[in-house]
Amino acid sequence: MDTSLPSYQAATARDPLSLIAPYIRKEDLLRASLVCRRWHIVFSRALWTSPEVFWEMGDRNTLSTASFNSIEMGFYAIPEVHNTASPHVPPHNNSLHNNPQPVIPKGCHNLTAVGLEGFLRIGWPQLEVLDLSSSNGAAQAKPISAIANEALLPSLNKLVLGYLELQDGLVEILAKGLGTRITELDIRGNLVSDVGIQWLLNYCFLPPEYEVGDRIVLGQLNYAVPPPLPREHSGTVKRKGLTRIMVSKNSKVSWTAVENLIKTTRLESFDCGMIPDFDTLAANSRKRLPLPILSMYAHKNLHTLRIDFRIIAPMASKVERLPTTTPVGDAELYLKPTMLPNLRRLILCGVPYYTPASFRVMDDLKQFLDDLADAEVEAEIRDGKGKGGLRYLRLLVVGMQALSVTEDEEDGGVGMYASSSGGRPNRRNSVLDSVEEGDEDEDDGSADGDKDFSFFGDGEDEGVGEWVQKTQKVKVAKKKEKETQVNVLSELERYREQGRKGVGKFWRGEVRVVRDMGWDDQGGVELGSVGLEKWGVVEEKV
Amino acid sequence: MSNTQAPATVKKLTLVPTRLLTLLSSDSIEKKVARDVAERSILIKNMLEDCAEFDQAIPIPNVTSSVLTKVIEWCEHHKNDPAPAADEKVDSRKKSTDIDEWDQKFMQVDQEMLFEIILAANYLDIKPLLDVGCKTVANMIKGKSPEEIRETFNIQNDFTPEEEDQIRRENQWAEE
Repeated sequence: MDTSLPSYQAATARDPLSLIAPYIRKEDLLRASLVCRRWHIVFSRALWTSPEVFWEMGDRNTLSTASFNSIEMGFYAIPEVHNTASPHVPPHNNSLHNNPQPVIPKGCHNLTAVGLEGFLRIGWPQLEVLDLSSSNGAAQAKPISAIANEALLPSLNKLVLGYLELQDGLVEILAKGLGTRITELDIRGNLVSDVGIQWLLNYCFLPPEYEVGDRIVLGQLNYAVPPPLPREHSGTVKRKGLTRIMVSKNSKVSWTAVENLIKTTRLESFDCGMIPDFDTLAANSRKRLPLPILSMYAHKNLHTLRIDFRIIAPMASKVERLPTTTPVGDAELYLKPTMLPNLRRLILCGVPYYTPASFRVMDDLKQFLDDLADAEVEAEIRDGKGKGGLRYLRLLVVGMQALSVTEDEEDGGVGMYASSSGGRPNRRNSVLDSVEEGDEDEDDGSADGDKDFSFFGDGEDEGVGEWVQKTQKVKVAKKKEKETQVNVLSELERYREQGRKGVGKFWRGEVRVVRDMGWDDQGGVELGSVGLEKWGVVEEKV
Repeated sequence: MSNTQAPATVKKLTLVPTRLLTLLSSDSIEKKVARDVAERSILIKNMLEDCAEFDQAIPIPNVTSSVLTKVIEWCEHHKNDPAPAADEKVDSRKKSTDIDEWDQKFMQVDQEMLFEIILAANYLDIKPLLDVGCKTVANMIKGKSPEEIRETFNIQNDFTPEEEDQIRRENQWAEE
């Protein structure tokens, strides 16, 4: 019967199963789909074409957010769906806050490409946020094309495709289909290279927006004024194009691509993570250093930036060549708070826990905090007491590097800051000692500045063990091993404490210290904080 | 019998002889049926609304005479049921598994006939009959393992173990 193509009659009328499917209870549907191939075709369609019925989230037309996550303990994948009518806490934060363990969202490992495509093919008219991080099935052409299909997800605004081993080809499909429809894209931890970034640049950004005559550097540049953007009746710009993008942890993304992204002028939130070729850049070619680009193209829109800490660390970067003197004359190559006046959040990643004293990371950090304090004072003078400072950065997150691996002694990069075996036992003790402290401080979120620094929230023991295990693998250049180690965290804490007591300059903003989980893990763990900070485990996120 | 109902009955009695329809099953057997009974089928009802008079037999090409007999029997019994409200919640209708007693007895037929009735109800667009038929099948599946379902419906398992495992994993989210 099934050997020939079905006639019109057979297709329309001779199929009792598909008539019956809507009457079968959801708990029976799965078992029914396991009866035989024919039943499977019919009933799995019923399962996958009305997932909203199973989640009992109401009409799919009103769903605004969907992400596929599984709880770590069980292997059931629980699709998280949020209704526009009753927005929930985002699933990530939720699971992280309820669980003291550093939960790494595992994604939906049993989601297949076919299943996902089927899910998407139904069409989700109001879906704005789609999170498929670590859902292995997503990184294939068919589901990616479905995501990029405007007819299926017309309201899509934020797309999270982290940790999928996405490659350039898929980014191409995505970029061409999405165009300027979405404003936020997260492709962290993939295999995207400069080619993929170029696809995004070609298709997903609006043309650059230059302000002729703006008070900052642009005055010197002679750009043509672009035609006004298409506007809707409400006066809002119809399509913004990408403005928030996370590309970190794609080790093949070079500085050139990062630079091109900044040059779009559209970025509001940007996570470029570590810059693999930073030291080469700093050493070889001054004009290619990040800073002029940032202040020139990003001063207006950029409010959140996650970037290699070396961008504020001229001294540390120069140390190999000029070990005793402070570099003079090229300080403008590094980030100063005034360069990005609208920046609200700066996340510096890759700051080492321990450094040899000769690497002047601490000096750089202190200098940066002083600069912040100066900028704050300036703003107060200009705008009046109490109002100033708000124009400036509020949050400095120092992403403490859990470990850094390099075997290259000549490399002036991250590897130089790798914690040596000598520093390890010491660190471990301090960590364990302060775990209890962390417990007690847990609920006192309104820390008003006189809280002590504390390492880790509770439930960190496993993390510590893991850390120790990892550091054992770290190979450190032998000549560094004997050198005195500086504990960056406690130094930073001491410096802030001094400032608070009136010694030296004090920036009143908020400093949070978050452990970066490394190159291939998601999220991070808060190590400690000063200021208006809550304790606990947080995800380090742009 | 109350006075209010009497005129209707009289009217119906006078109309019935002229409003007897002939249905022609797929195996060319004619069935005489009263128009109000036949109009339980939305398909036939719409057809009659479009055409003033029917002196010819109405062909029902998808339904055999034995099934047609069963369907007419159901329509006879339910001819005075109120028409289902158009705005009735579809889900609640489908998800409730209660079937009234007469219908349960009516549905005690062999499986082939059961599926034929479902198909005929669908074709003729008799929603309440379709509901009854599908619910009957749903109740036969309710709570059963795939193997038990196969026994119930005498189905051969044509999956390879790998396929079965694959489906199980893919649909895991639907399990509680």
